[in-house]
Amino acid sequence: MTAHDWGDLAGEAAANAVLDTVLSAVDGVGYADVRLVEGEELRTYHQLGRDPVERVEQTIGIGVRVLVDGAWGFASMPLADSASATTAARRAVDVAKAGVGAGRPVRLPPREPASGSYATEVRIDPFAVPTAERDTLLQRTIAAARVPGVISVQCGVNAKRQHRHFASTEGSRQHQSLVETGGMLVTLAAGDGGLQRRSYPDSFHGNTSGSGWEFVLGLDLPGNAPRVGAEAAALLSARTAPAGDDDLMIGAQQVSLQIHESAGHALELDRMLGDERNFAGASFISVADVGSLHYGSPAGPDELRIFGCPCGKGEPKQWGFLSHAAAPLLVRGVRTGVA
Amino acid sequence: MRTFAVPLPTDELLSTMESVVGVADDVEIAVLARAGEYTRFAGGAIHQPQDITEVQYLVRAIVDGHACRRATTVAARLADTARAAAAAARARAEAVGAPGTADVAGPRADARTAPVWFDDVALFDTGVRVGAARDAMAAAAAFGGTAAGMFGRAVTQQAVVTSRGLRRATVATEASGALTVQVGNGTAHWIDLSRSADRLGLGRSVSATVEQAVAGSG
Repeated sequence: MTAHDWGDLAGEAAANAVLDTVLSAVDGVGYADVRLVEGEELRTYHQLGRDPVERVEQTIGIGVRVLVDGAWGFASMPLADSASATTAARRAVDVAKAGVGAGRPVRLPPREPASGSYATEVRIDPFAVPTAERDTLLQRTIAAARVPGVISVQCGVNAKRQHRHFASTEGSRQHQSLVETGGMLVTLAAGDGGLQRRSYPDSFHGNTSGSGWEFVLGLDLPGNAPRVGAEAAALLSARTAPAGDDDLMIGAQQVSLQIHESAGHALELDRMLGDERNFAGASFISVADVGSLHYGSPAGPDELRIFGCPCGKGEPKQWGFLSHAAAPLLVRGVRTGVA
Repeated sequence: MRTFAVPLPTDELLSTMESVVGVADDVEIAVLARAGEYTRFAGGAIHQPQDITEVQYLVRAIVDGHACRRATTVAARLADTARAAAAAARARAEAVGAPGTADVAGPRADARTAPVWFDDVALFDTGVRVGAARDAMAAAAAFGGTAAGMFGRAVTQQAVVTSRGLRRATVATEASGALTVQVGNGTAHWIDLSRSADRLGLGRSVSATVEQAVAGSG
């Protein structure tokens, strides 16, 4: 029994039957792919002075994408019964047919199929951890964070597991079983008419990793709680930064957020191509800039290198395949100041 | 073309929900379902036409005043989901060893609300939205510009059943439009959301957005 032995889509055989049904139903289209995802997410939160909150959400669904005479169509729905696969396929084809001739036809370049399987390396299955063990960890964290000045403490753990299956008319067939685990702590301190907040290990609900419960244990929430609470209280009496020009040193978490916002979003291809102009936004980088645009301040370091690689065991986020892309995928965002 | 319909038959849905409310001291079942269709266009093409149906059955089970939640996307799993929620709540109640304060709602008088269902949304189908997208892109191109946006419609369904006798369900229509037009240095944006497709005034809104972008280019 492993952390991946659960659910209706755990085996490749069960998934292949649905994938084959869809590919047969869309026979004759220019291109088609189908995704099956079964997921389960567990969240447990404890807050000072309140009852714990525990939630488990299960999902199982199908998404079908087709290209008919140069027009895209997509449909998705819960995989509720044996008819869901063909219903989703038929709807995707109907959507595509309605769009034929309405704009520039899409032509996909030829690609080699990418097939295989991948599973997250998990040492301790987070879904096998007893409720009492999770509760004890979180109660110890709350108790440890209650230093003088702290008025509120919230902490939580979460775990997510998924079976993802993909097949395309190009011959790709991918099976992935993924696990993510995470934890968080937020403290609020009040005094002298002020309110301050400090979180760990990051803001935005802490941090998660492509691994098992061992990641939560490694966070050592109870061990860090006194420091996090004390820092929130210390902020109440911290001096305001003086106005004027000076060097600024920012912490690692803020650096990662800066990279995410300033480099990551700017290098998203759908923003660069303008596909997201009306929704998520565009980019100051165009496709023509790739390899020539100098990124960052001319007075900055000679070499600025940003890499993204969700392809290795132990990486914070890891997959064997990303959508229809061949894997593993190495994203070379910015190197030597040139995007 | 696809029929514009409620994602889940209401009477059947409520019966299914009521069949599982007895698994704990108190139980609340809430269902949120949404069938949405979106015609997204940019770069002279309809690049993301989507037909997305989403369903969630959310069970909140209470034992001795302690609540736990479980959720699923398919009706066939609702009974198992309810039993899992009840077992989790029971375990939490035993672990705490004292009564909690969680509760569920009982029957309430119907509140007066504005209409939420408009038949005109049925006519705002994929073919109509594709035509509108093609017209918007052509209108911008006539001035040397580009248009990107989304025209969509949806049916949203909500239902709640509790072990204290609350039994309510509603369905609502939705029509939406968003457009970004760029002509030279001029950019204009429009976005609107309504229960009624007619109230979007789509043709007028597209024309006005193109005119504003042209005026700003100058």
